[in-house]
Amino acid sequence: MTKDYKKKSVPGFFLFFAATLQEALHLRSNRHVSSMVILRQILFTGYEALPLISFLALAIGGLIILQGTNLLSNFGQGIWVHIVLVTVVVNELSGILTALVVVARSGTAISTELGNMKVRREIDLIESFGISPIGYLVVSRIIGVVVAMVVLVVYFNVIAILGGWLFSRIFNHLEFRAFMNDFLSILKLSHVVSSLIKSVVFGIIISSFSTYQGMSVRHASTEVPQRTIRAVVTSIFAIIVSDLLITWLFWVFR
Amino acid sequence: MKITFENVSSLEGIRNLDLELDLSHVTVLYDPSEILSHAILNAIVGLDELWDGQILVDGIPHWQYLDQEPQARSFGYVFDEGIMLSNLSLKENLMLPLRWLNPDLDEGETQKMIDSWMQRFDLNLDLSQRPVVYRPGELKLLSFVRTLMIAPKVLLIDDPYYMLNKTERQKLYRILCNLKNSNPMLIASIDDDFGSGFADEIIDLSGKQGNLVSVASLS
Repeated sequence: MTKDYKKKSVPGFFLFFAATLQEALHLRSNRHVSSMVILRQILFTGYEALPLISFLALAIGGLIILQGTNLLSNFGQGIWVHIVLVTVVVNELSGILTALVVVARSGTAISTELGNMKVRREIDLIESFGISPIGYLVVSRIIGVVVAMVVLVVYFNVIAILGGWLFSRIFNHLEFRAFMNDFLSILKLSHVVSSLIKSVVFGIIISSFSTYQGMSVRHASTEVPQRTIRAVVTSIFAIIVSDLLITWLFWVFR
Repeated sequence: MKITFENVSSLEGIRNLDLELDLSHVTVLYDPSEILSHAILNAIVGLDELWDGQILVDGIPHWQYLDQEPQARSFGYVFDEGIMLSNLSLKENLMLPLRWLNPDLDEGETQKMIDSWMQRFDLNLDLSQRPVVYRPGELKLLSFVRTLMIAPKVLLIDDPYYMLNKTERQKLYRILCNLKNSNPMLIASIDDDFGSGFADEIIDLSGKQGNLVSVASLS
């Protein structure tokens, strides 16, 4: 089955995903999966994205508090700005914005790297050793991206909340304890669970679409940018659709 | 080891090929177009997609044979371009198939083995560097080291002289002559060095695609 993914089509993606799943399910006994590749992926996707995520989260948290306070104060409801922070940041923006950053940095990098490896016949080399390229290159990258995505979303939430408090402190002279009391009184377990589920799903989407497009390059280097663009577009589309679906499911079963 | 192609057609250009390869000695596939010989080597290691027919290894279907034991132990493939993984250091490249075959590899023993092969190939490279730092010819010789370290049953070599300068060609020829008696080889080449004097058997594929012209046993 591992070779059937080479057929370029929608069923091709599902065959590729099934082959990946099959290798991932036998993770413990699977020597094809490389811990070195996983660690390098976590380092690149997670650690090296921290400065950008920090800036984005701090700014978003602060902006929401600023805009929310401005808007809600008109109705004498300024205290409820924390609801906006929980709803908008924890439920939605942390996942979506982190996913967009990961698509832009890691999705493109994975697709380009694998595409170039295909052109330079490095994947043929791996196969000639009897090592499964799906296990060695794909499963390892998917695990790396998913782990990094979960960590980044949690980190985004923490920094955005701190950003929210920082701006509340500057403009409303609100103490940290008071801010956190208001925030925690509104935050529910379901918000955290939904945010974590989204991060896992987005991580799987980004890494599987990017690896599939990279592995679908045949021989020409001109295919690499085309496949990378396709990886970005399909990832963003799938992220938005899955976000709507998960949010709807949480709304139905709340 | 005997490899039999039974009416094989493939994606890379093999058409209705019937061929029997005796891999107990050195066999050279003479193919000026290089397409068919390259496709045959690729098919043996499972890189070509078969459309029709089957490949048998000692009478067992090819895929079944490769399931029984690690592929790298059976066939050590040296690509014409001496491919290295560009995101790994040279040492990591050398270690990749070895680690895959033996995860509990002794670091000291492996280093000794690497040093010995590097000395044999007269290669003086900084193995902590990435492949991009070195010339293609040096990387090609290093790819021979990587394959020989695994000690495969059969050495498959695609166009041995490709990318090598005159000195490197002479060096490689000497080394392969020394290995000839202990390592069965299947070589795809159009060079005279391998066409005469070196091979135990030459298979002439210079006719139309997939048509065998002649098999000459020189031993």
